[in-house]
Amino acid sequence: MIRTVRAAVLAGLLAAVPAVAEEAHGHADGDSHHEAEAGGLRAVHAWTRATSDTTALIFVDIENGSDKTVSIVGAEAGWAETVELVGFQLKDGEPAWVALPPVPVKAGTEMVLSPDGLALRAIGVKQPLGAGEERNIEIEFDTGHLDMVLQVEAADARAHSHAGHQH
Amino acid sequence: MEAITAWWQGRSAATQDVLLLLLLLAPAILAGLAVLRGYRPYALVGAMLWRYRFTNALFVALIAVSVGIGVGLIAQERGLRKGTARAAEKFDLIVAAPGSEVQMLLAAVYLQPVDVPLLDGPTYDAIARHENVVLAAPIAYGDSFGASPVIGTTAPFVAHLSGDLAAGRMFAALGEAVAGAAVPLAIGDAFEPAHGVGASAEHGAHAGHALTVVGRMQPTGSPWDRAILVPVESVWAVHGLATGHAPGDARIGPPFDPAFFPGTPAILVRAEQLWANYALRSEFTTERTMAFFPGAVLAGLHSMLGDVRQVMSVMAVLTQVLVTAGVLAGLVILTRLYARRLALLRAIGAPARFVFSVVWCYAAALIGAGALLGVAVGLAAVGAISRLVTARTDILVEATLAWPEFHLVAGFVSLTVLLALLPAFMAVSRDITSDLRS
Repeated sequence: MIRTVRAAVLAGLLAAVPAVAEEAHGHADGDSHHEAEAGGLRAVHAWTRATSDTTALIFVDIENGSDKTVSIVGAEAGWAETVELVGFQLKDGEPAWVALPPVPVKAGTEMVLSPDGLALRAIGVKQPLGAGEERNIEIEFDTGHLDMVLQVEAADARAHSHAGHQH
Repeated sequence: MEAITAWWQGRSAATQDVLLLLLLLAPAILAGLAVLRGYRPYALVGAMLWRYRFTNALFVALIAVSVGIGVGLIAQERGLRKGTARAAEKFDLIVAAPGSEVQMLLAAVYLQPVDVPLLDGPTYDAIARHENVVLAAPIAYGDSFGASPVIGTTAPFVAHLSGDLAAGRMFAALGEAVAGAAVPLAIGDAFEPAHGVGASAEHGAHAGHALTVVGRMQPTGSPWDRAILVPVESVWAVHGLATGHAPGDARIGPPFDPAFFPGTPAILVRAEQLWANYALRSEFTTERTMAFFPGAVLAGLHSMLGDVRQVMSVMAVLTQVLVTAGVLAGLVILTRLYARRLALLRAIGAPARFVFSVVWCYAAALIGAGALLGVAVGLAAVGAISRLVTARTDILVEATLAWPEFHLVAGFVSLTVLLALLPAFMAVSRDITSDLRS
């Protein structure tokens, strides 16, 4: 169902935006699946931390290269029951995560989902996430979905292992 | 195992804390029940404690200091972490020129000024006019009076920081100021700010630009308690700059005219909704501006300092292990003091297990008393150190003992009373005849 909706939405985007929509794999040596792109919207370096808990925070860089505001809504993943958008707050000195409504990303700007900031929270993770593993994820926008691969980093990681690279 | 994990995760935090405390105490309680089953050696143990009361008091004091240091270290670290976070709570989003987020955090939130490029009028105007922004306040630092930094800002920012003023009224003209709760100036006092801060501040550089205190803020528990807040126009005016308004316009406060806006090192930005802050951050992160959440930067620093926290915890445990070893060695020596009496007990027919229970109960009493006194020592130490840190940093540190400290003490008590079985074994395995002859 999701894939059908996504295909329909992507078809709409393709009609509106002349750019060729693609699940991008733009590494020179062809081994990168750290990014996805459609309709000018690009997501790079999706990652999470290794955990045996039933919740996990997911981080990703989103670039809105289209000519209109796009809102990030949440995500879907087969390995978790739900994935929601959350924001970080320090409450009385202790970290807290608050569920958020869709957050707009203006045209030509970048939204970085990072530790101690905006993030996607996977709830009901079905299997422990091991460092070095990969998982599939569909990041949901008000205009459609982006399929990409999520990298599981170390339990104490603060960034994607390819952070700083342009892919 | 998964079912246990799921059940545990389903408990509230308070329930988990209580259960963990009981789990940690369980070995001590079970050992006590097993050792004391069928016997009531309390009167004899009381007599032993009294017989060598000064030696026993020394042991209790040793354990208490060890436990006090351990719990004090952990509680103080948490208090400092919470205090620094509370001080940053009012600062939702800071926009500044691109550079170091940590430096700007120190400058704008903790009032440790740094030289940074200024944000210009059009930038401020774009932020202030944004549909999701409810407060865009310039934070212009650089002058001081004594130990108090003089900060140029707007009345809405003062209201945001303090709520209702503790006394007096809000500044309403160029020459007026609102003092932080800890500023040693009374309402009605006038002063001339120095140019710069610290020992090298130029006194007299702003001669003729006297400011009068007209209000006092509520305590905020942050370095802003020792700050003096003035209209940002006042800071610009004493430096011979435009006042943010067209010539002849004597208004103070926003909106500012971008053409006459001299610049500000930082802007506090506030949105009604959390999600809007993230959108604003994304929007104001450009080649010319840097937007960051002080809380997030602080959390990142706390996260990095997590290693230090772990080192402190290890140090606390190590201290206690060393003291435990010392206590055990001491207990072995102490039981030798009682060797003749214990041998006499056994000679008149007391079972070995009764003597065992006497020695173990005696050791457990010393350990228990030391641990309880240690909690009190930790509480006192934490209070004293918190007051010292608050006085030095102006960041209100309110460290108190919490569950992690009680867990540490419970773990220490359990481990030590289990190890106290060793001197009890040694006491009953001594030769009765030679002890009676000694």
